[in-house]
Amino acid sequence: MEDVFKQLSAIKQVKPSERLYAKILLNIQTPAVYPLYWSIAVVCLLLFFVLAEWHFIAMQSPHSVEALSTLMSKTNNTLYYE
Amino acid sequence: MDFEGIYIEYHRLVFNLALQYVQNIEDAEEITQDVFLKVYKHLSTFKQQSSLKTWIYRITINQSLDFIKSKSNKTRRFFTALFTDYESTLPAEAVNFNHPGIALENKEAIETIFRAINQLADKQKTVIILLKIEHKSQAEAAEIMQLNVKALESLFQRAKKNLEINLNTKGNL
Repeated sequence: MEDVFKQLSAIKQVKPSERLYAKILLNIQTPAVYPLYWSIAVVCLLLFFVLAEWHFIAMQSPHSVEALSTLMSKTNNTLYYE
Repeated sequence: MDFEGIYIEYHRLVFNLALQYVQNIEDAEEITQDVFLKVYKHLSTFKQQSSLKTWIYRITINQSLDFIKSKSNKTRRFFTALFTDYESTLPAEAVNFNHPGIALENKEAIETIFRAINQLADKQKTVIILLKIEHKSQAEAAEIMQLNVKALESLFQRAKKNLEINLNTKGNL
């Protein structure tokens, strides 16, 4: 193991890119944006709710439509003179 | 010390420490950016219970470990990640090895050693990096890792033993 640690201790320190500070300053100035991953997750969730709503409406029995038509009686809108 | 002064003083420290975790220039630069963003955001709330250097060390270590986890997480399916135990299923990470601090003639040997280090648990990995690559004293490493020297010593012994096992495993030799 001593040989392994000797090899590790020989690793030299290196200098990062000169442009790194400029990149950091740019990141500080630009506001944080939400990651694409989360945006997609939110869109999928909304889509799921819309589709579920549409599905339940489409699955409604025709009786409910009939019940609605009995409630709303047809009015005779024909104009006539007595 | 203002932000620019902190960057000038510590950017090499942050970059090199991140490099020991990810062994890749691009990833180390990304971690360095994230570390200094955190430093910038939290500098006003930094309570001087530890030195600035120790605080920056801790941020860098946590950021590097989070980066490695998030990178391996990206390959996993969303629902699989929700319903399975993360630690038990995490595979040994395949690293795009690009460490500029290593001499060409030692590259292959050190790549093998890093592959074995990458398989260690987070704390064991950190203790090896701090003591054997960053040349920190036991007291300094213990302060950074918020442990007492005795606990650090025993952590190092476990790390050393596991590293030896990993190096002797068929895939690493």
